[in-house]
Amino acid sequence: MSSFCKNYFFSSITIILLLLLVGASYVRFIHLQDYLVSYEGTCDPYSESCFEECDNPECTETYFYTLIERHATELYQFCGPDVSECDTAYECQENAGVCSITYCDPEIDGEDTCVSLTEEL
Amino acid sequence: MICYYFDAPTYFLFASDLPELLYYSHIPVMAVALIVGFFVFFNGRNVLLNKLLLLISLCFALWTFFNLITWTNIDTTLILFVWSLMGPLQAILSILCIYFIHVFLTKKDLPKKIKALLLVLISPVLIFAPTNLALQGFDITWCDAFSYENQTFVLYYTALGLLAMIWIGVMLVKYYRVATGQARRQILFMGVGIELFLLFFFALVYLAGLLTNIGVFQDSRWEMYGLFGMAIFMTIMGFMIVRFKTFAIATQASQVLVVALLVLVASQFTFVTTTTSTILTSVTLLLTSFAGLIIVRSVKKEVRQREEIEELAVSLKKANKRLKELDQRKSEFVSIASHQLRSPLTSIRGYASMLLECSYGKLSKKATEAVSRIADSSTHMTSSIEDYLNVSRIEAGNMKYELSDFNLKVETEHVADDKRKEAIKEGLLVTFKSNLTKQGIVNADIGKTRQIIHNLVNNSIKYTPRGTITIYVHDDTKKKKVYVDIIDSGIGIQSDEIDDIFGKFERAHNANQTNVTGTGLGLFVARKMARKMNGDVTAESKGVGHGSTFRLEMPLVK
Repeated sequence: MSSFCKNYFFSSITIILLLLLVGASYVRFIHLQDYLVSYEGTCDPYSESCFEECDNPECTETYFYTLIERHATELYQFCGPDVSECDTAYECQENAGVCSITYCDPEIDGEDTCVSLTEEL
Repeated sequence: MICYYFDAPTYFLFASDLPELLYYSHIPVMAVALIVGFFVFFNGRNVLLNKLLLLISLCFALWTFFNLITWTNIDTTLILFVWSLMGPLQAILSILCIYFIHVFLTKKDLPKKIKALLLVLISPVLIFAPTNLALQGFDITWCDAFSYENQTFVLYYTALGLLAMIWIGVMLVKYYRVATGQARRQILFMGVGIELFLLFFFALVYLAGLLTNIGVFQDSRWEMYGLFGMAIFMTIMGFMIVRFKTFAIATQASQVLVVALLVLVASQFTFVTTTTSTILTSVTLLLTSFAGLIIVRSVKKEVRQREEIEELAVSLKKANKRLKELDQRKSEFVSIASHQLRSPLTSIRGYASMLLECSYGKLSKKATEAVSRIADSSTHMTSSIEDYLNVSRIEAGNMKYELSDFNLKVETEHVADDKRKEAIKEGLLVTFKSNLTKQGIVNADIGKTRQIIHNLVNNSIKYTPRGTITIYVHDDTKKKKVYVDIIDSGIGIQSDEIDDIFGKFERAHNANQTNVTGTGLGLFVARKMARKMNGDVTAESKGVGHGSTFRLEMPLVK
């Protein structure tokens, strides 16, 4: 046993660390889904400052969005795996843990990126 | 969670709207790395270097597979799981490369202190990779985690790659300087291969991630080019296996290379879209298979022949060494034996001479005849022993030459005068002629030169049953040479034996016709001595029964 430890000490430690790493990653990301997710939320440029993005390569059509960041576990509980069909995903509930909606800020994101049509109403 | 902007893959790894180069940069390179890694390993399971190359191949293949998953899959949990393991794999790769090069250069395992240092360096990556300090979240819109990666963490494991490059570079330069021949070339190839791999892999993967994160690129497709570093590395490994038998592999290496090549060509099927491309790829594959078959056969044949030649060379080297040892011992034996014989012979000759001179009273006619035979035989034996001693001196490199300027014509004439009486006894006529345009001065050992001429004249007397022996001294001022020709009307020499008679203990096959005894060393000694004094001894003959001409040539001084 002592000979084994002597010869394979460093490789044993490395393998143990690797197994712990794989186990910890599996538990965190697959089992607990303990991470944040960000995605594009709905946005009305007539009432909010929205990000604008082209809808096709020619950019003949555009769409407006906000950036939402939430905890994956909660989001999964509300919406399941696909958030695109889930209205709850686009708003922060009162009892939600980590949840933020980021609107476009011309000073930070640039005036060309942001669209706000509130004055046109 | 799923990335709802993207389509789910079919068969886990096949998705649409991906960069065309994706599968080509991932699958064949991964296959080549695994083929070479496993091939090397199975050809020497107990060799540490082979194990390390397999580990490098496995780590790289796993990283490439995980990377492919991140490109093709839309399940955020799966992507994040493999994403968290890719940084540690990169760190392990850099450490393994250092380990690999160390073993390659020193042929020894890493010292424990260095292992401990490497473990300390890699530990933070392994410990923090699954935590928020490395990776916090996932961007569903772009289906990646670049914006959630901790840049300090990324920089740390990328710095390990840079450290590996510097460490390996320093080691390679250090060992390259002192290495010679094939080892030097192996270090050069290995160095280029592994440094290119690390440079491509770490630099492009890091830059692609960084530039995607700050928004310069939409995605990290540039990292695909980084994978070709492994293809270069493995190609060089394959070349080294064939050329230098690195990893102690010889014959099957070409097969692996051909298989790897076929995998590369076949992998093009994964991204060809048009019928023309499919046909062209099929034709290329067929041609590559055919060419590969020929290469495998020819390489196998060449390797087999080379191995046979190498075995023969080793055997010959051993045999040659043994022969030299035996020859040396024989020379030592001859030298000792000859010295032991010479002393009693001197006494025999001395007393025989005194008896013949009637120093102990007058001898009867019969007694005089018997003592004369004793004197003749002992003189002959003394001459033979002198030959043996000369041979052993020449072979041991102990023959000393005292060079001085002297007149070759005069010395030759003296030898001719000395030998004339002996020749007349044998019924031969010795004449001396000269035709010199210069003085005939040479720079040589006077005693050795006389001995050479003496040997040549002696040789002619022995092998000339009747007739004449002409000693002719002449020169060639253009060539700056002076020649002593000993022309006899003796038994002659066959043309194919002329070179052989200058060998040790060699005599012409018709030498026994004249019923003379000889050691077969006179000409050998004469030529060796002449060559040591920048001259030469040659022979020519018009054939058996037509006499011979022996020539001593020496550089003419004036």
